Amino acid sequence: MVFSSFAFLFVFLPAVLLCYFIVPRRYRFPRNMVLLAFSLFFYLYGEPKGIFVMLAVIAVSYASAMVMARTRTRTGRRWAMGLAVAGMVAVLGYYKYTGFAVTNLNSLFGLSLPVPEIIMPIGISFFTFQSMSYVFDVYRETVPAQRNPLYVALYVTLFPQLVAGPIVRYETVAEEIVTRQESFNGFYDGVGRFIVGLAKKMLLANPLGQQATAIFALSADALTPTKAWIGAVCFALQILFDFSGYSDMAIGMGRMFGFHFLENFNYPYICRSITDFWRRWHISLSTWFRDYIYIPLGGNRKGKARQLLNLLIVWGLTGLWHGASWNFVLWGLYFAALLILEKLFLGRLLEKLPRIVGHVYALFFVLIGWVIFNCTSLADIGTYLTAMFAGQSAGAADWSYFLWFLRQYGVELVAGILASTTLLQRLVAPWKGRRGGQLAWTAWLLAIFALSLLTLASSSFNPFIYFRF
Amino acid sequence: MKDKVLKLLLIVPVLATLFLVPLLTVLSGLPGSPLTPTAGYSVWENRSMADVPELTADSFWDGSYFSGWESFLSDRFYGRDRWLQIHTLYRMLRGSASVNDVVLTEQVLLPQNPIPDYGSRDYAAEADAMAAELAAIHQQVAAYGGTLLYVGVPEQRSLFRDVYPDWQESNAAHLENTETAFAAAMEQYGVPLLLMRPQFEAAEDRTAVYSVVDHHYNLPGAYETYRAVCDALAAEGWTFPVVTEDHIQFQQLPNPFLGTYNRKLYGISPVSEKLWVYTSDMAVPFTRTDLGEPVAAEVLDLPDGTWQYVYYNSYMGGDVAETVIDTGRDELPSILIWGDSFTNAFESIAWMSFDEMRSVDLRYYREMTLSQYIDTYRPDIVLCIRDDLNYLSTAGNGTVR
Repeated sequence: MVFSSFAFLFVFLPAVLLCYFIVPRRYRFPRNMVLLAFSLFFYLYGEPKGIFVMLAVIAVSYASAMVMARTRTRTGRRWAMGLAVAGMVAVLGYYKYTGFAVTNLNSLFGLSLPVPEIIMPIGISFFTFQSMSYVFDVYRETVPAQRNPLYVALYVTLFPQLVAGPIVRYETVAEEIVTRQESFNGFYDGVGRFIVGLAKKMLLANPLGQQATAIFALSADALTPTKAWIGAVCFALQILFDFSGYSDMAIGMGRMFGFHFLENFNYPYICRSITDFWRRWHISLSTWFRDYIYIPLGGNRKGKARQLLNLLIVWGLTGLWHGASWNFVLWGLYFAALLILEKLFLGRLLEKLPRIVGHVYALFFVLIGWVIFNCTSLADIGTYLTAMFAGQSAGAADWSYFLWFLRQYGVELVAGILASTTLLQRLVAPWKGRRGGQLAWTAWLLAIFALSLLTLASSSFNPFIYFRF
Repeated sequence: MKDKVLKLLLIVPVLATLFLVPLLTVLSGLPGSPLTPTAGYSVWENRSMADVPELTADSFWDGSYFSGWESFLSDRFYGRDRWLQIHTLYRMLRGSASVNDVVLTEQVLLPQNPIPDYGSRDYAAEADAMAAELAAIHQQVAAYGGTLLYVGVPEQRSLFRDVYPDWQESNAAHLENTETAFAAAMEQYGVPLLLMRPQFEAAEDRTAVYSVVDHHYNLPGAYETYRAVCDALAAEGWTFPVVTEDHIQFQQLPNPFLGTYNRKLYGISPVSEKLWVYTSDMAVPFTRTDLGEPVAAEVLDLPDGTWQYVYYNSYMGGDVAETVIDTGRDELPSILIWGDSFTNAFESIAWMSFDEMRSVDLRYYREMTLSQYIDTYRPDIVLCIRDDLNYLSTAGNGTVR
């Protein structure tokens, strides 16, 4: 079930709000069970068979944590953690990477092994990573093991973040699962945040995504530089508002139910370097890899060479996490290369140059990164990049297309660019505390909520990019 | 105003919307409800709305049960048409390049063409392959003394290609390449081809012969095509009564006409037109069968009242896999017409000129191939009517053997 659907907005959400808040606040356990039941149904609705995989992953993480809680020796704890993580990696590997691995083995060794068609459970990358986070946190003793398996299940399945993140760390919500306080102000903030996320998705990501999809599907002959650049910009804005919109909705709903999920985006396109970009983009994934992979590998504590190797490993894995395809691996390594260059000298150089240089540099390479990300094969990447930098212009036809694009998507383009900067935030800041400002903000939220619903009613193009991970 | 009241100004309307929409949807579906439920058929989208899905073990585990609910809910929520209308109005007010994929010009509604991507196409090779197939049919018909004529009509967007604003994609180059290659290949294979585009383009007012809200010609346009076909067949030596201007009177129905494009605008189209029908003193008694089943002897499906919407499928009842109209005049030639929906308006007039008129639409007809059909019935005249978007298409009516 996607948030921007009638089933969610007009059946699931009112039902869960009603059932949840009808239970008096002092009955925390029943309230949590309402959330758990709805979360399981939320998953079942989209992936009836996949729910067993998710429940198995939850059972493994719960059992592992309980074993760790009862084991005195470090070796025993390490075994309990290691076996659970190995099991979860195996599940992720089987569902997500088997086909990819067999295809590559076939082409590498000239084999003809049958490529299994395995249906990947929705959101497997998210719920396995959350489960691993729980196991790691218990192992590192940053949190105690949760003795109630239903609460572990609630943590993993909590519907706002279940299938597309943000990847909520157990330590972030461990206390809130048991002792959170829902509040009127929190509910209000949550509603506002949810509307902003819905609008990002319906009013910006979807329309711009339509054009990006059309352009990325063009053959090499039809792909002129103008179209290729517009396609890349559209996709960059689509993926930002698609994913950050989803995160906003997740964070907003979390607030309605009293949870405080950490931010997942912080205006990534105002970054001044690639390092800065990754501090602002999909923060929950970057920090997950930093804390659970990069730092345990030694981080920057074991010399420059080892640090660079660690970066390559982490970014190769980050690429693979996004999908079982070489373009994702290349995408991860591409960013690894840029980050390594910044660590070696580029970062220091950028700091000495005017700010604008850093912005242009970072945006340029981020944009190229999205082309690599969105093309489905290495050949397509080559074709697209060739069109961007060495393609043949169609002259007047390109100009006509540009005018058409502005007429059709100009509002979304301008709004998207403005919304990806802090400009609007800074403009409204002086008014925020004032009554008139709050009234205007409310009117604005209601207007974009209404427009989002109208757009949803007439919309057939409604994918969430991060659902496929 | 207190802070809490200000916050309620947001929370209350949002929650009211989330709760009221499902509530009104359920209430409107109850027997005796004063609320009008969303209809089971959408005239605007020309499709049936989804029904409540059936729960079975298979549909549950393969996910189709829940996706069925998704379709049902998005099709049947309360006030759906009104929502879509408001959104369409919003797009119009915004001055979008196209609204619901419709390009709005002062006089004509046109479809939004996609970004052209024809660079890799070999028009000559595609045309050659298509013409070779048609040549085989031509030879088959000629072998028993019959005549084949291929009638190419421009699709509405093709005839009005110059009406698109300069910054809109009109696909003119693609249309030109297609027609040039097709005409050359047909000439090379010696297949008789009648291109109607020059005649329609020469019309003083093209909107008099082509619909401004639908992708077809209108009935006067179909009549012009009929007359051109009659001239071409007469030149081949065929004699049959021709419905001349003196024998046909065109009039417009007062009903609202929903074409391909104005229906996409949910009743707020700035461009509209009426549907043409005719009366003729040359109409004779006839029988009609559709796919072998006798049906009412009608070629115009007229509405009961003036309030009903009418559509292009008023002609011949729309696309039918096979229709046979028999006038019992053995002295006249028989005709077989095959093609897409452009045949419908044409046939609603042409039947008066022939003994037996057979019509097949190979998109739906599955009993035999066109070649086998011709072998079976040996019609004197075989006519293909296709629009220029489909000259090179081997799908549907392009598969003849």
